[in-house]
Amino acid sequence: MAATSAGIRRVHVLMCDTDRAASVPLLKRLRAQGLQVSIPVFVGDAAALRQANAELVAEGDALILFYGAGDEVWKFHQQSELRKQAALRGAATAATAATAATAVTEWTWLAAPLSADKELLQLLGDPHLLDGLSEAADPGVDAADVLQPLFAALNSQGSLP
Amino acid sequence: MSHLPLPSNPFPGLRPFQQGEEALFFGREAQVDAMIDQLAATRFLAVVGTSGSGKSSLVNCGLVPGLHRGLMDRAGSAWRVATLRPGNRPLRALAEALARPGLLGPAEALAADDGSGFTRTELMEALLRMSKLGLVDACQQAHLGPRQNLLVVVDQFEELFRFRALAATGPQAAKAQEDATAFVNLLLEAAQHPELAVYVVLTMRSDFLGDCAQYFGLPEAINRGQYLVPRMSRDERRAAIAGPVGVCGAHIDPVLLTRLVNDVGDDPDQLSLLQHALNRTWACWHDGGRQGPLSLAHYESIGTMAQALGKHAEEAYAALSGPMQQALCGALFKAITDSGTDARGIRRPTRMDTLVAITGAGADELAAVIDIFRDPTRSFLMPPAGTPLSPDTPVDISHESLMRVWQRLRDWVGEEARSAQTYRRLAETAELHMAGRAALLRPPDLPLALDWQAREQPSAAWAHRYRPGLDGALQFLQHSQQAFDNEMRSEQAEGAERDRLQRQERRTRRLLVAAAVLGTVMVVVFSAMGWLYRDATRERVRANTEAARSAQAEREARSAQAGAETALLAARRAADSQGWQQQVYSNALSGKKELQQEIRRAVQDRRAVYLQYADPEQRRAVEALRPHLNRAGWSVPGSERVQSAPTNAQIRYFRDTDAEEARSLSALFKRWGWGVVRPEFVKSDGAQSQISQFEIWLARPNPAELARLLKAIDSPVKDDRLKALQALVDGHGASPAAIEAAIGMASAANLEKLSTPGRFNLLYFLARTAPLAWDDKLAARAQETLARVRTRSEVGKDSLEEIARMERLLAAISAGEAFGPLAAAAP
Repeated sequence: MAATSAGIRRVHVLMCDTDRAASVPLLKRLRAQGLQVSIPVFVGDAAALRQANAELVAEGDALILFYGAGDEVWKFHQQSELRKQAALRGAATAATAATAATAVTEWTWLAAPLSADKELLQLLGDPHLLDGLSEAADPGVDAADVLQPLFAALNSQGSLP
Repeated sequence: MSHLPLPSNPFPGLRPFQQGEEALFFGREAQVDAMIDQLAATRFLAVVGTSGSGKSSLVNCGLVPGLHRGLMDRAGSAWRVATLRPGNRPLRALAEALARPGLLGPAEALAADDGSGFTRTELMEALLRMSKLGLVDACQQAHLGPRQNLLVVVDQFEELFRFRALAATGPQAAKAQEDATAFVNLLLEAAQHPELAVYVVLTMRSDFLGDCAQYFGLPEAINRGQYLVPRMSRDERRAAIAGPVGVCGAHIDPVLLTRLVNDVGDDPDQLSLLQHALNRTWACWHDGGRQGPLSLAHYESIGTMAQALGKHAEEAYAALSGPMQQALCGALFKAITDSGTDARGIRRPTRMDTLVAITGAGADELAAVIDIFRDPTRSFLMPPAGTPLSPDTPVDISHESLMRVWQRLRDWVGEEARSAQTYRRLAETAELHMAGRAALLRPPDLPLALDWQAREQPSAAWAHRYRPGLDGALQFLQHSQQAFDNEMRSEQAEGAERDRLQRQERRTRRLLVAAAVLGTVMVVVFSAMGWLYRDATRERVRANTEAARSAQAEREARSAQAGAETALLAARRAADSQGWQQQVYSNALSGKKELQQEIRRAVQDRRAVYLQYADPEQRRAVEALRPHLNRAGWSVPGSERVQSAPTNAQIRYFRDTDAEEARSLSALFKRWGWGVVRPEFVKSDGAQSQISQFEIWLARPNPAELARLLKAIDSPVKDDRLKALQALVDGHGASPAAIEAAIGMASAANLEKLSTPGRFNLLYFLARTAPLAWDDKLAARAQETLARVRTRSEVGKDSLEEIARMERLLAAISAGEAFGPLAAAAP
């Protein structure tokens, strides 16, 4: 992981292009915490998109998979790609004898529309799940509580700004 | 990190990477990016490459996931993907792919139950058949949402040409042509409608590119959107090997990594072999406790890329339960491979029900064989293990490289090609004969065709794949045989007369020779007699002289007593001389009879054995027999391959006085382990038949009977076992095919499946076979078999005796001896 020079934590929010508008509230809340937030590049040829987005993932301290308009297949392919990138980073660090952890912590943010897969994730309650769907459906849910696990994890890596 | 499950083995082996395995697909990123850009520009992409270059994997695990991840910026990341292989019903295949629930909009867009009684697939197919806009119409009716894309992937597009070629002479030819054209038009048309987000991707072997010119518009579309799969660079190959290892949290020794990169070289055909070798290397490392990194030792222990696949396939073959399953396995692989359009062989996916019809086996029996070869650790056959095998399930080999590397499969492919060629030729000739443009078959074509029929026992389903007209062809063959038999019978009648005259001529010649010999001897005898006569005459003259002298002496005796005694002695000598002369005459007369006996003995010393056999497989053993017969005092003028042979081996003799000799020859063959070779008197004109001439007629091998006997020696019924064993020993002891099949039954995988009596019987038979029928390869396999049997914990006393006998047999084979272990026991 690569912290910025000023020690600011960087979070990359991986989403499909149709979720750009829907992700704005989340992006704002992350920025409000003093985090540097990036989103994918959506324009360019395939090679440029691949390289730019891989670099954005690699440079982040945490990654949020924004699971909204993208369907289950989209999620699966994104996760597969993340696994490949992690293996490649691992090979690269092994080659340079680096010992630092190479994994970027991955979180999943649930957003509308609701689907069977998302319901299953809610039921399973994975620790890396950020349930934006419950937050949107129930005004009583504290937004800070939903993102709390992410902030706590980032804190454990070093104080948030 | 993602929470996707880790695979137990990150390398797929021989099969292509499947959808969902892109996390293991490394080294092709640049190629995928180029393909996506090309598809974005043309909406129609033909991914073309040599066999084994990874076209299907590139699309399944590169292009499709890349599209879902949004690498085509103008299209977004919402994709619906219809994947199909055209097979022999391309429109049906496309309809099935498009009718998959949820693919084209909500399910109600094409109702499953609209009251018409048609399925979704049938409705879709009807729509597609209506016009070349069928696919466009289906998309429009489905109301795909904004930024929703449809990708149609036609994998192995070349099937369109291959299946059409197979139907080219059949009654369905016109329909197949029409369907193929309609299928191509649907794809081309859909990709040309910019208002619809429909994209088409084909994968196709590059050697079929020329065939695309058969369809209007297809060459142009391919020219615009072709992606020729390039070779992987050294770095890309390195990534393809190390990446999956890293995904699974393991490491690979750099020495092994370099060796693998070097071994695979630049040949794209080697990629599948590399994947297989990696799969096996990983399994070896895993089975060894996952200690340390994957190393060179693991790679070498699986035989490296050069041998790993052949070795692995042979292991699967050895796991089959016996000759019956092995025969079925051969029939299965012959049915799903094809070398008709490519000498190196290509795949021929075939439905289960068709395979059942072709092989004549039950679906369960067939499934048992398929399961051994599609076990997850092997993946030689598709569909993968666990997928139910219903009648319409296509069975396919995972990769064509299996046909190039597995020698046994190469042999099968060759046999199948030759068999199909024979059938086509026969069927064509039959049709020409019907039209009055060809004659009935005669040798050498006739016996070849009859052999083919007996060996292959072609079914209608099998023949249908190559050419219609099996019934006509078999009738034609039968008529040819009948006509030839009639012809032979009349020729035999003429031949018998010719033989009689020839024998008479030979006899006359022999008598002349004998007369010449007799004359020579008589000349010598009479010369001796003449000499003796002259000597006796001289002696008589001398005696007369002596007598005269005696008389003179007698006259003088009056004056000398001693002179009289001398004269008496001389007279007695003369008398003795005349008596000896009489004895010489007498001896000469009796010597004539002895001379006749000498001549007879001289003829008998040239006793001859003619060897007759019907099957070319028997030639080696027959030729090996000759020096041993010579050593046993028999002349072997030659061996001859004959068209017809008796059911059981025979020694034919032609004079009743040779019966004893025939029995002793039969005993000799018995001692040599050739089983029962019965003396058979062939009645003929004794005066004209040759003395001490014998014909050995070997029985024609009967594979079906052999298979039955081998199965029966393991029968639960004792009587059946004993009868089968006796029949094996009596009739198949000199058959290399029987020996090979018996050794196959005793393979590592099969031995434990036999009952105790079955194992003993197998050993009993092998130990009584003819050493001359063995070769080094069979002997080496028998040594392995013995080693396996010896290591069994419960080896009985009788079995130990058979083991010892078998060892003596192998020693005899090694020493090039004709006598086996039975020789010592035989009288």
